[in-house]
Amino acid sequence: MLIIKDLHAKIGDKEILKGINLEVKPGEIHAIMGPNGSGKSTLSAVLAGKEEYEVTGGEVLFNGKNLLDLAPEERAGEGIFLAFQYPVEIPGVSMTNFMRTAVNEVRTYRGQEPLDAKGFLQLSKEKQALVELDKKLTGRSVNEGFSGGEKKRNEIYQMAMLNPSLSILDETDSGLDIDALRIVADGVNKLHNEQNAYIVITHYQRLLDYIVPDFVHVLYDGRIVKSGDKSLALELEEKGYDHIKAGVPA
Amino acid sequence: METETQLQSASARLLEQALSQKPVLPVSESSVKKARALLQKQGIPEVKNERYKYANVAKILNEGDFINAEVSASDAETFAKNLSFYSGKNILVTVNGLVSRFEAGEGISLSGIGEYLAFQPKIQLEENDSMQALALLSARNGFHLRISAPTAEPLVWLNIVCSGEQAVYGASLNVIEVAAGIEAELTEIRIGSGKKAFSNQLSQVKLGEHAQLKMAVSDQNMGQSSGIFSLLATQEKGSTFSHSILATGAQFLRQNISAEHLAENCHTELNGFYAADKDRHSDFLTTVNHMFPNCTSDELYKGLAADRSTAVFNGKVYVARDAQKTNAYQSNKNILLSDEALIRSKPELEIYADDVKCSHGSTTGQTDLKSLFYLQSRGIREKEAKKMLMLAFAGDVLDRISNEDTRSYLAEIAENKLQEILQ
Repeated sequence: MLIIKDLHAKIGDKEILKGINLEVKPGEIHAIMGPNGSGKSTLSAVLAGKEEYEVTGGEVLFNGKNLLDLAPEERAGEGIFLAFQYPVEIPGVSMTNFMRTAVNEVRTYRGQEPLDAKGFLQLSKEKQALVELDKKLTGRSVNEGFSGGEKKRNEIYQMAMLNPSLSILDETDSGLDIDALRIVADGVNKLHNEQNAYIVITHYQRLLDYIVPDFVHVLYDGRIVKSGDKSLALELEEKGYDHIKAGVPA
Repeated sequence: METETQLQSASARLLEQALSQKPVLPVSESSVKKARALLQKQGIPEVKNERYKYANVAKILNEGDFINAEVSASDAETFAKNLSFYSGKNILVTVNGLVSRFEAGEGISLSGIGEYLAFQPKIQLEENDSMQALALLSARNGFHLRISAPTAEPLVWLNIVCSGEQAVYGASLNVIEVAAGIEAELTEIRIGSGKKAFSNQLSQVKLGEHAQLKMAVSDQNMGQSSGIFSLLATQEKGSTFSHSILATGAQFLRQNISAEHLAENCHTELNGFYAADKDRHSDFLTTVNHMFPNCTSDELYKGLAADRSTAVFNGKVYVARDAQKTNAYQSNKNILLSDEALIRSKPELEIYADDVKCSHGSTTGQTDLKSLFYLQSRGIREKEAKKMLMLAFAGDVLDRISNEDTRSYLAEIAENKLQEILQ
């Protein structure tokens, strides 16, 4: 589904990704862990198509297509979804208008009929229930005045609405209390199936108790320096990142 | 006559006529004298004129070679009749200031400006505004509108600017009065008839005690025409003046608005949204004079400039020493959509009272890339995403229009314009 080969990227003059290799197959859940500044968020931003980052080498194939050639909205159409670490507040754009436009743009891209008002409402209701998103939030502007937990649940709601094949959760656990974490994780687990895949970026092992990964990768200084199964996450929790840093040649 | 016309520039011609010929309208001698002195001193504004610094009026008049002439009423009439707004319960149609149609419910009356001036020949001008002086001296037409019963639905004023064979400069003088305790709504739709025309209008708004006037203005259909529109409001005790303008059409627009409080407990609200594109120029100068205690003003102007366009906002708020407990807010926010577009924003606060709440803010930026990326990452195409953000930006201003029909009418114009700009 996703093949990343020797990916290099920089912002300004600073090289952040220094040769990432990763393959994700349908049905898999990959966790990417690593200390601050290792390039985790950059990787997710590059995959979603954020302009500030310049790809200087390597390639990314998504279902055989060169992902790096596509605009962010085309990537969404192809089935990529990024759950933001810091969801953006957009005053004056209502949640309903935003989501309805997004759903229908994506459906059109995928060659599906746009949903009418009734169809949209039905879908929205169903997906709101999945993450226990308060109904009154959909009447507000996008993320405006949402609590930290509500913003993250809103991300998962949007994910559910857009039905992506590859979702990248960028530190979705940050700023969540244990109840909100469970709700978000439950939502992800319900949406997970044999056809879709997840890349879960996180700092802590905690989230991985709820969303159980098939693979765990450690990102350090712009490279994946270690990969393993879920036991690697427990090992990191116990020993910290320092022993990994120590083992990486400078 | 023919040769003389060709030798002089349009601005020199207009200036000379205004200084030497007797005004068509029966304005008081003292008003004429004052206006002439001002015009003599300042001439037709060029870039050196502080008040019209960014609006080179003389250049526009000269390039268009405008003449001060009456237009054929029949041409204008034919034009007006093709407009979808032409019928309505409360309707006022003017062509270069001349009333061509008026229908309204009881308590809304209209007469020619001449009749009004016969009794009250004194006309106020803003200090140092020579275009207002020129309007007073060169006006051929105008109306006196008196609203002494509440308007059940807004009075729609089709303000048509029209040219004849040659490009026409048309000046007019209007007085709009709202009687004490009356709530009125006036929607002004400015229209250009296709050919280039230049309008110079001076309107006085007089609000009685506890009167309320809500004005909404659109210039979407001005086309190639240009205009300077000056609105000078005076407010009696407890009155509310609210003015919202959507500037999306005129080639060149200069809107002057001033509000002066004549007693306590007045409220003034000024709103504007402008979307400038191509080589258009949208220019606003607002002045709120707080002269008495316990009055409030709230001003929100937002806009964007694309292509090679220019947008100017200059907002003056004056709070006199006696105007304690004044609340005055002003905000101007701009978005630049191209490297060649220009935005000038100048808030000016002059406060002499010490127990007041006043604030002002001005920002000019670009499209918020974070928001744009967020929308795009959800599958929304860049143009559509930009339009959503621009509409949200305009929404703050449009939301202030309380009449739902007026608001949705203006919102649709704004949406169409944004769509056009983003093409």
